[in-house]
Amino acid sequence: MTAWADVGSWADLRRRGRLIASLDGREIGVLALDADGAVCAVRNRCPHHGAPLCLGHVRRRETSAGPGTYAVGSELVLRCPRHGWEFDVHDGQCPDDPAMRVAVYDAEVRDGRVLVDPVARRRARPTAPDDLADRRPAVLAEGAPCTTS
Amino acid sequence: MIDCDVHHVIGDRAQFLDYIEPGQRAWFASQPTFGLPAYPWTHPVSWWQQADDSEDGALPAGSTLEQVRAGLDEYGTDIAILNGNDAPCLSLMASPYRAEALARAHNDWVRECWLDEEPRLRGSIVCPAQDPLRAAAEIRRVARDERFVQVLLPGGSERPYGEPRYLPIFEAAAEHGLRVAIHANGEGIGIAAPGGGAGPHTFYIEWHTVGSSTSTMAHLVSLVCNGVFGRFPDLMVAMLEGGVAWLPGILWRLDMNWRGMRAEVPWVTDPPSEVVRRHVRFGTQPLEHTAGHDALLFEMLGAVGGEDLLVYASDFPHWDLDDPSATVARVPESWRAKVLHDNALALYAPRLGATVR
Repeated sequence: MTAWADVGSWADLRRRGRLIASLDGREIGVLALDADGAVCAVRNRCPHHGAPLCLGHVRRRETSAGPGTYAVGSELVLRCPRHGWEFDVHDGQCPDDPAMRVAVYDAEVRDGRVLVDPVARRRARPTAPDDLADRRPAVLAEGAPCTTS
Repeated sequence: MIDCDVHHVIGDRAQFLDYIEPGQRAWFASQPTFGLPAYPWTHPVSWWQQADDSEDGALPAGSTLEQVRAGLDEYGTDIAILNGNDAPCLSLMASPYRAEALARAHNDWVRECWLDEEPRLRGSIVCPAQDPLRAAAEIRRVARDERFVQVLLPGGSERPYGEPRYLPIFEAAAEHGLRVAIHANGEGIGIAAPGGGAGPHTFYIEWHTVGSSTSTMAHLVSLVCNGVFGRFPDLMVAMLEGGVAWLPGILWRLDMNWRGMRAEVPWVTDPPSEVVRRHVRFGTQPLEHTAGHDALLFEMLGAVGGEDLLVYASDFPHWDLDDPSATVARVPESWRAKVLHDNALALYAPRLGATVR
């Protein structure tokens, strides 16, 4: 069993929008999913073209009831800042391409610190709280990546 | 063998004018080309196989039933779909009222002077697409005759055909099991947008290279992105005379862009290339010459399911037609039965299945 890594403070994560740490030779980004400490951890390398995926934003994925109609769905995805590919924040799967998946990791906030298990997770997690869309602007502020070790 | 693109011409003006409603007959009679808009350039030699222009006053092939029958006999065609010649461009006339009258006349003329006379022929419904409600009414009027297998739209248009304004046309077609054919023609004429996307062409060679193919690409992408096939799940579209070599590139590009931009069109829930495979077929003519790289062309087409997407089209009797022997010689052997017959039979199954083996 590997030790969980402390990659920074919850306050810092909220201020910067994301924390990016180098763990066992891999960059892993942690992003907030709500204001109460729900987070996701994703490898900071887009499987599409290798872009720094965690500089993107977590967002609810658009859906539609039919041509010409727009809605916001429940699926939370991390959108790559280059080319716009999206990945489910819980299992890393690209909803638009079954062959494309990014590694995701267990992460949590404990006593104000952000902790990450550097061993990639395989299983899926349940969907984040429904009110994320309303709170997201306050939670996912713009911020430069911070590197911790 | 099923030929998805045979052109027939109004050879007997007096006969055709009888099909125009009385109130507009004099106006159409006064117009040398029935009021249809014309390209700003001219063909450098002839739109027709050159032999047809060898004598002054000779009618181009496709002007009479006998000429078309001779073409069917020569090629061993079991079923040929008639796509008119200039008439589909009536949807690019400024006046939707003239266009409607011309469409009604053309459809009735096709029924009585061609389909009633030759059992190997099937018809295409022309309609005033500049006024989609009138177009839909005309489609429904003609659709009762099962020998009409599709609605025919020209590549030239005011907007790409996926635009919501055109939905009544697709709705009427889908309602009656009619296919919609989009045939490269009329780009940049009348009320149509300029072809090629960079302004009007100077020469025919430009239109024939990019005007015809880029309109086909634009309509294809528009239909997918606007979700037309989502609205009408049984709708099938045939793209004619826009070429095919570009198809893999466009589908790859569209799939790539959809992955990054699907939020713009969230109703497109499947990769566009899959939507195209389910709903669109492509005429083989003009099959691009590859300077010795046919294997590469068909490998690329095969990568996007070309074996099931291509339908044979001759373009008889135009100057650049592909006769079946020329197409057969180039298409992979394992594709031939599908391209020459099976794919078209499946495409037009709702209206062809009952009458063709």
